[in-house]
Amino acid sequence: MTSFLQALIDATSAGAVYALAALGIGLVFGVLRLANFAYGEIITASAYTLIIVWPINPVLAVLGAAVVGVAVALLMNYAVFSWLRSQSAATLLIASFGLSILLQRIYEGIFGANVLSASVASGLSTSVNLGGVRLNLLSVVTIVLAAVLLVGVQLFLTRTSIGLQVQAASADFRIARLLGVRSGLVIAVTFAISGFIAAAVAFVLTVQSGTVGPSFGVQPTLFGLIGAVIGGLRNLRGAVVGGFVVGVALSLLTSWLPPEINPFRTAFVYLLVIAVLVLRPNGLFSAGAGKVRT
Amino acid sequence: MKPIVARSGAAVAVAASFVLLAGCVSSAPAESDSTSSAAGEGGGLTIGVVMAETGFMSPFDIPALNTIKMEVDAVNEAGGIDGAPIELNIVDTGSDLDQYASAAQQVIDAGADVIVVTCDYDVASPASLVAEAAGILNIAPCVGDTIYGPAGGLELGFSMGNGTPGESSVMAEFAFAEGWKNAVFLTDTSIKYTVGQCDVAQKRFEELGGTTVGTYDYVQGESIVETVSQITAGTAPDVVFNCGYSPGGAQAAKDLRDNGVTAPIVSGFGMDGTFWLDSVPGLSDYYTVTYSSIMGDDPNAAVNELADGYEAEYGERPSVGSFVTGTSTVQALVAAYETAGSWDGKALADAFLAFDGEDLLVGPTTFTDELHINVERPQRVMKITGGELAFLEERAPEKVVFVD
Repeated sequence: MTSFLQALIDATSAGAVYALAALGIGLVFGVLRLANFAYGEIITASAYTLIIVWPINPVLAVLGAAVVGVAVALLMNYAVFSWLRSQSAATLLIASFGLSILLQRIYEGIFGANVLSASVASGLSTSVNLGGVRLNLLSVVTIVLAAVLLVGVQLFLTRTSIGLQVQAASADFRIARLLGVRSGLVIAVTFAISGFIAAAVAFVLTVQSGTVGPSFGVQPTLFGLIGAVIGGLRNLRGAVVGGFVVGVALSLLTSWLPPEINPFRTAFVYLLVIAVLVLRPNGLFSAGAGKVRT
Repeated sequence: MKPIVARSGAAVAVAASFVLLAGCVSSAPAESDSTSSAAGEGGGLTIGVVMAETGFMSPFDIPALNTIKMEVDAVNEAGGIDGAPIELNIVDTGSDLDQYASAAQQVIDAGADVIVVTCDYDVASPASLVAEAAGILNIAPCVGDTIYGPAGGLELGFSMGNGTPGESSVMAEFAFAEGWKNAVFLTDTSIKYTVGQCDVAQKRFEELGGTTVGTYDYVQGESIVETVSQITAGTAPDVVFNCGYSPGGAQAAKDLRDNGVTAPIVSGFGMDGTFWLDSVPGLSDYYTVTYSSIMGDDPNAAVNELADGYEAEYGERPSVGSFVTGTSTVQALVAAYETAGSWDGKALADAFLAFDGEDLLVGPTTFTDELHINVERPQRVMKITGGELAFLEERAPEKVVFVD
């Protein structure tokens, strides 16, 4: 029972990280139909900020990571994606893939290929034992942070004027524009929020690892994207649940698969993705067919 | 018309799978030619260097490459070889596997007499095979896999590195000598080197009478908190073997310590260096087996002198102890030329095979027809206490074991 509870705690924490990544990715996809592979490089930029600035001033590091995350996301929008808005989803996807590689090389040029390391919020790394179950403070913080951001984004989308415009654009970009939704502002706000969420992901991951390298954000983005696809890229809640499911599945497979097949745990997750795409091409939580963006 | 979302989902999945199969992109291919002079002029030695100055292999390649440059300068200042200077023709592969074969051909076409390649067999072998086909001696300064040589089809290929069987046997023997009897083995499966490392260490540890209480895998970039939960739920280990390299190996170390595993941890060369130590504040009871100490406390004064010279030249100390292999590569070439009398690949290979405890900076060096890499050299055991790396002891393997 104890090991079962331990596995659930570990899985919930892992799921929360990928749920956050899926939220950031799903937000942008909803408006722009862009599955942004370069999202990982926003995470990486914030992580570099945290690792470099934290030893100088932790508060500045957190603020700086958020500002950098938002700034890099906006820069991506204005420098690259705003020029490609009329292009197909496939073109946007490939552009984001290229941008991802380009930014990794830029980070390598600036910071070197080797990892930078620092202890970020080391107090969160401590564990307490509760009746045989190990509870890491970072796990609690990760779950709370994910919950707060999810609720915050939900409130923003449903209780603010610009949030409602984002929702309208997500539902049908062309009609929303015809109805007076300011498309440029909506897209910029969406990128900014996704950048802020990337900074939150970076915070959790840098506390967890204490290191950052040029390809730091690749893995969480991959699994975030996969989660968003499973859940339904057009359905923000679905994307978040999908990200959570991927994290939980990976964690539980790591905990429970027999040692002989445990190294293939990631393959099982991809098997799950294939099965979902075959059975429900729009994802588990998307109803009906998607609409063409013009 | 199919829904665009469905197509987007499929495209994302395909692209994600592509990235996964590619081993997760870390950098785009980039090549830069820093040819120092026309190759082969004056009958001297031209070394074609096909290594990574950028990309994921560069932390391992750069220290050896830098000391190659330093040793070449030293030889040239002393009059060169037979009065002719050594020339370096360096191509930065950007750690891109696809660049290695063409880069090797490029330096061969430019007149390279010898090829020096990246410090990992999987990555370097395309370049090595091109050199082999051209009858040119190829040297990997710090490959640890014993496949570098005849086992990998390289009759003219030699590594100056410490072979994994020797390194891993030292890891096991050190741990057992410390009185640690129950061990957990954590293996990063992303490269062959770390897989072989734990396989050998486990075999040797059990031979000595130790007990394996758990074996677990991870890959670079993964958190291993679930694995730590399994470790803490099982028999408490006296020692954990972390067969990995940074940053994944550092993540594993941090997850172990953050989640209550206080047992000593033993790693090999992959976890050498100080650059990752800030990620685990106050890390203690951590041991690495490596080539030499970068901290200025190596038992060999010449190593410390080289590290100081490196710092003066490049503004920082070498990041890992394999920096001595670059110097040793040039030393070996100079020594082999004295025997061979030419830069012919076969003649040089025969001269290398004639080495019998050749006194190189990396240690006494002997090659055999089967093993073109050394497995019996003494190595350094480094200890990390309170986040500080320091030399602990010199230790040669008492018995070297191999795995299939």
